[in-house]
Amino acid sequence: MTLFRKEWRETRTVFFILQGVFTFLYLLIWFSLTQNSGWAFLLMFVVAAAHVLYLFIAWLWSLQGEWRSRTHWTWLNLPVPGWKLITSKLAAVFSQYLLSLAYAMAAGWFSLRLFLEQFPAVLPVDELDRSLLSFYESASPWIYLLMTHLSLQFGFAVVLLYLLFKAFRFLGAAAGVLLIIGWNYLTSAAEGVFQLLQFGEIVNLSELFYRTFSLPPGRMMADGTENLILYAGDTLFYLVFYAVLLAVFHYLIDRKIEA
Amino acid sequence: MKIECSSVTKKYGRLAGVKELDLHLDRTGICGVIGENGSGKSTLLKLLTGLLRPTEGTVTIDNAAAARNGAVDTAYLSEEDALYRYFSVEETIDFMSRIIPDFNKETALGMAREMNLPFQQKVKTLSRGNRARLKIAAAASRSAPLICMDEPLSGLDPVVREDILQMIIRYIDMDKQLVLLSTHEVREVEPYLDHVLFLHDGKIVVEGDTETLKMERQQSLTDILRTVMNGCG
Repeated sequence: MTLFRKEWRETRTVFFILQGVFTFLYLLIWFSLTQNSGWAFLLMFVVAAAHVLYLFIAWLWSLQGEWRSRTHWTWLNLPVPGWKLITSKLAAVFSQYLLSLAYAMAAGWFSLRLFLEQFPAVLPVDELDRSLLSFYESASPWIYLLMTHLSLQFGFAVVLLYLLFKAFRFLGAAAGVLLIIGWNYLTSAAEGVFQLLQFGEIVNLSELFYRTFSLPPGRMMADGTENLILYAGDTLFYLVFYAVLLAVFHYLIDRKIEA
Repeated sequence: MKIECSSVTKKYGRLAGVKELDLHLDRTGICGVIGENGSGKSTLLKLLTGLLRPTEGTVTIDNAAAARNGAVDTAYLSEEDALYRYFSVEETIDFMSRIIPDFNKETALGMAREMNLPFQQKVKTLSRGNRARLKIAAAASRSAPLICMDEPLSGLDPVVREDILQMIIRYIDMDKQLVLLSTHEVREVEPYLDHVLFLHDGKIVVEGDTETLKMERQQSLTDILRTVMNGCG
């Protein structure tokens, strides 16, 4: 907890400044909606994209901050295992990310509600209005999870690259880039293997969407839209995958990294 | 504390920090690592604490390869201001005591009090001398068998330097701990050193017990350093 508190303290100023910026953006979105301006949707996209990138930028910034402020001599000489050093940084920025995303989702909910109240003519059927809000409410936890997963993937990839660079300089970073490209290729080429992980359906977002709007399920197939399903198998796989990556980080920090 | 370096070379790009360095040290007390700028003093200390990896050769501390996870047994004090700037003096000591198992909080607080360090002041607002004093308090409060102090006296005024040397003498357990103290302020540290390593051009050129060396050569450490720098070690 001491390390976690230290990391929170180190990053909290940037976190609160960012929340200030996001608040300003939410107010702009609200204002754009009242003006019936399309900017609102662009700003919503900016907020979503910022959250996907948030974790990797914050994690990397915190890690790189030790070198920037020359405190890496102290940090690397702390007699704690490497995994604790790196997960305390992750835990601090991850908790900030979760708070920020929760705030963004709440702001999204208010914006949507405002939009539906202000412009009932856009969605003339009352039933549809309620459905849209209801879909947002029921899908929110899963959208939250999906964005977190996406953000975590970016975060782990970038921290892996940084640690490889610190351990083996440019050769390490080049090897890291190849590893990431290779992994992406493997996941797309061996799709069949990854399909084996698709067991234990937790939620089917596509189905939820069509059910909420009372649309026939056949329609999504006709549209060629893929089902967006969260499986227990996939979730378990990624949890193990992240644990393996943390073990690699631990090894790199304790054995290979150079100050 | 047994230190073994065998044919250790550390390169930074094409330049070598240390070259085929051999060292066998099995003792406690204060050992001066002396040499001119660029002689490889800092590189040697960083290799011993696992903060750098040798390009060639092996470094072992008590028969285990030196690595960062050996920080339980090896404390490192950087020549740079490496303490967290947003902590106050008191918070720095508290942080260290919570994280480092061999850190003696009472000793650190006692040292800070003795040196009149302002407990509530943030590290970033401390004077250079007080930052150096705090660094020493943090390092000397550890009971790790090996403490590497990289240029702890560099750029400080004589009063602070004297304070620091006195603290090291008073708070280090000379029977259980080995302090490797790198410096080029030879005249000042001479009375405090039990053992010395003279480095020149990345190699240890002279090594021995301080008194024995001085007797054998009939020279002060400053004169030995001068001889070493002229390449006649």
